[in-house]
Amino acid sequence: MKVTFKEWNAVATWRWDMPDDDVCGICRVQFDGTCPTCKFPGDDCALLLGKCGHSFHMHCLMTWIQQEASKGLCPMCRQKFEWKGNEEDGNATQNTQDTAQDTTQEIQV
Amino acid sequence: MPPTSTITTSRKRVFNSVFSASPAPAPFSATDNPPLKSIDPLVTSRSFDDSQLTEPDELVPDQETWDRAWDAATAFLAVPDRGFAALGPFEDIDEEVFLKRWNRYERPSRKTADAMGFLVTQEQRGSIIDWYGQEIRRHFLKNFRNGLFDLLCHPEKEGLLQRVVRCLELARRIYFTRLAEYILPLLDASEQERTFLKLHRTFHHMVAYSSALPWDHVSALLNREFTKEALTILGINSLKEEAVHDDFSVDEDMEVDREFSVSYRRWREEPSVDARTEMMTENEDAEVIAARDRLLSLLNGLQLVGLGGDKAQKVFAGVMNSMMIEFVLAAYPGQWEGPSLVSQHLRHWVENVFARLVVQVLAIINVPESGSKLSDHLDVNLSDVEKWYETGFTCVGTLRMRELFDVMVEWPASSGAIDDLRRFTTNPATRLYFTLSFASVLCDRLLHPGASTVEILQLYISIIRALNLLDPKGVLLDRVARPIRRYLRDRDDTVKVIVGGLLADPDADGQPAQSTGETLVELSAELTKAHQNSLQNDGGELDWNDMNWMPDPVDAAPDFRKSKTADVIGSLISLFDSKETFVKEMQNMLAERLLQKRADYVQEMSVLELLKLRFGDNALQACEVMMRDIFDSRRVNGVIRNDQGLAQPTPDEPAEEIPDLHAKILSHFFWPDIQEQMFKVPEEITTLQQRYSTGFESLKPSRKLTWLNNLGQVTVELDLDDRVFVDEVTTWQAAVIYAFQSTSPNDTQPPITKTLEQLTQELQMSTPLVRSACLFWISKRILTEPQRETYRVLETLPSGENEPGTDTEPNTTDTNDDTSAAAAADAAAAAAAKESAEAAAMEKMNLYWQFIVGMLTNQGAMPLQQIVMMLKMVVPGGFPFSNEELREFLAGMVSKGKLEVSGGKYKIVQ
Repeated sequence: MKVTFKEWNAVATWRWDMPDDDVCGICRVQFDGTCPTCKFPGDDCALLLGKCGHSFHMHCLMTWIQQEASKGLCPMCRQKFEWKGNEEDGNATQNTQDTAQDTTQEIQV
Repeated sequence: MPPTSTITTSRKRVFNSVFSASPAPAPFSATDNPPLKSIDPLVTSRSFDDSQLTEPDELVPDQETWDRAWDAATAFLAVPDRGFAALGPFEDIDEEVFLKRWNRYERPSRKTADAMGFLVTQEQRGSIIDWYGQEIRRHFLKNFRNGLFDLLCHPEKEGLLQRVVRCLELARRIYFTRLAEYILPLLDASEQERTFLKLHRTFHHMVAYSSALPWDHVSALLNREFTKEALTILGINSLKEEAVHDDFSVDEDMEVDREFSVSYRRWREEPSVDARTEMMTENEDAEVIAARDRLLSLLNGLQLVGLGGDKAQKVFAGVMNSMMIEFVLAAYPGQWEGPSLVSQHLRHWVENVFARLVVQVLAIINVPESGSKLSDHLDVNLSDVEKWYETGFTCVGTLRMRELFDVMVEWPASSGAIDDLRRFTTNPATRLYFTLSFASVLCDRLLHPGASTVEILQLYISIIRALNLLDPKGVLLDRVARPIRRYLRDRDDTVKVIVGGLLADPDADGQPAQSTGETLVELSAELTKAHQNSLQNDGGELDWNDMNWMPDPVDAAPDFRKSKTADVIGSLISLFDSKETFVKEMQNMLAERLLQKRADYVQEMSVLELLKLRFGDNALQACEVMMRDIFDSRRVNGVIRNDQGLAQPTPDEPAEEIPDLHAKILSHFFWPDIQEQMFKVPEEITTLQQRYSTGFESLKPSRKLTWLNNLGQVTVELDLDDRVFVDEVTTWQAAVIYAFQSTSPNDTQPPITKTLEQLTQELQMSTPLVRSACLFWISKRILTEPQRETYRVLETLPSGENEPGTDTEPNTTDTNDDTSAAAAADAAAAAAAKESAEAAAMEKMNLYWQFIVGMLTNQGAMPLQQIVMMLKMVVPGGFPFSNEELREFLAGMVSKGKLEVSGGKYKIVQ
């Protein structure tokens, strides 16, 4: 007997490439869930991985960074928060971070 | 008169002067007619002279004359004591003979006539009448009383009353013949009537109050007669017959036009009002006419002999009352078509048939004592008829109440019954009766373990719709629905059925959805229909500008609030206090359906949108994510397949056809927990899955895929020696059959044979699952099971009788019971699913194990009950397992040596 698969409809789940059971340090929701403001996980509610080893929902962290008191630091370890990522991504995020810092400085002045 | 009589008279006078108070009648003579003379004090002092008999005009007759006249008259009038038996056999004989027998035939001699004339015209003429009255009484008591009593107690009741009445009529004849013929003409008109009535009353009293005819016997007989004839006259018998010969009546309708009938069904079918009227008033059956004649003549007799009157009326009233009930019970059960004409039909019947009989009967037995009634006297008023109608309609209401459960089952074909009930439930008493009796019927017939949840819900929906028609205020529904709702909440699968119904596919043809035994398809139709109006009348109670506001009815429960009663979906959803149970079930059901292979999910989309209107966006967010996952993965699937070159056979390996791999990628956080049953998928597929994963990771950075191999569908093509088999199967079934693939293309090698154990190890699949898959393939006649738990490919189908029965011994039956094999496969699959579910439950139980260990460590040994109680208190979200499950789990722990049991208490092993 020869068995041929004509079509195989598989089911898979995706998860962020993170240790299991890890939660966002800000909203305490699992990374595979969404931040409180989002409805859909995945593309709509991305993660940010910090060089310090802490990761957050992007929306959560942006809200934090944009606060004056944050001073651009990681809310977990108080180091300067920098994106981990490939080159273009890094630049892009660096820029956002810079602008964020600019605004805070302006306010301080 | 011979001279001896004078001597006798004087003797008698002497005698009487001594024994004046003696009740014994004086012997008169030894002649054939022994008259009996009652003792009249007036008589004793009189004398009667023969010569003066010819001068009746004399004003003061002497005693002698009087006595003679008296003796002659009483001798003539007295009735011979012949006993009751003499009455009986002469029932049918000639009148002349009969009257002779009772000394009633011969005419009075002139002398006697003169004597009577003399006595009657005397001042004391009442006395001869009085005497006659007493003579009647005496004779009756002596001769007829016992005979009548015996007759009345006769065991054969058929026609007994008629016989009694006949006897009484004869007796009456005996007593009144001479009175009417010879005494009354001697009086003037007014006196005549007075005297006659007086004697008549005497006779009646005697009949009615002597112990000869005890009324309870007579009334029982009368009741019997009334009932028998009324059943025919009122058409109830014909209704019952019609019910028996239900099938014929339709054909007969064609032949016999305008037949007399009180049948509601025929009446309904009659097109015009006139025809309907005629149906009941004209062309009465011969049978009915005969019955009517029989009854009326019997009543005439009764009235004549004094058994009619008030007492008979009472019996008649009782009978007619039960006739009304009988009629309603015979005419209307099961006649539920809407619009209901029952009330018209009943009114019609009451006016034309019922009232007619009442009028006829009352005309006979409702005669006042004075004898004749006034000419404009009406036995029956219009208001009486109206009352009868109301009584009848109450019976209809009671009948419908009894049928209500079946009415609900038949809904919506039974709207007529609801119309009837609406006229019935108009006051608080009937409404209370309605709710109480219906609730108890529901408890008896519906709310028990024998009824499936689908049935209960189906009926609940019918009840909601029907009672909304019955009582738009919703109070009745509110009261009736409470027990149902309470019961439904306790059912485990209620949510499942509701959600399943909501998601079910409505009929493609747009036909009104018919719910099958399994799912409530009409719920999905209802959902689309109901959402428009449900949104409009929200918060109606708080609308202060509502000029038509009415307070709640008096029988509304204290916490009654006007709900959107007609809103079936709303009622069902609000069964559960929290939306969570509902949403969770919705997720499960949706997951199951979304993972099926289908072209589109329009139905799910629309249901989700509609439910979002009810539950709000947040509650159903997970469901929305699920929908979105499916749509996203369709897009992503296309992209990845393009990127990885999975779409077409790649040019570098044109020889080998690779399977189409499609994937659904889920956000696991938002999907219900999916039981994982891991096993090794075929190598070919694993490779493809890896390529797919790579594609996904490059498309969506820093994400990875986990394959759920037990979900999904596979289209397989099996190339056997004599046939090609193509079907869509589950992944694990595909994996199992793949294990049987021939290792070499050489056709000559024997079919692959594998044992259950081999397969389990090779595929790393759980045993029940493997067995289930094998059974599935056996049912498809791809595998056979030559020995127990050993499977072999069936390369060529056995050709009927040529099949050698030797090597496929267990399979000899498989030609004719594919279905049983399929059922076995299903059962095995269910067992496998159950096993994995149990495993999952045990895994969950391990979570509680920590609690239990902590508890037993801190508080020492505990019995099972206490552990359960503690767990119920401390575990957040409640402890979902039963005592038995926990006991099993703890027993497992005991056997593992982690616990020990002593005296019914569990203890940690130190």
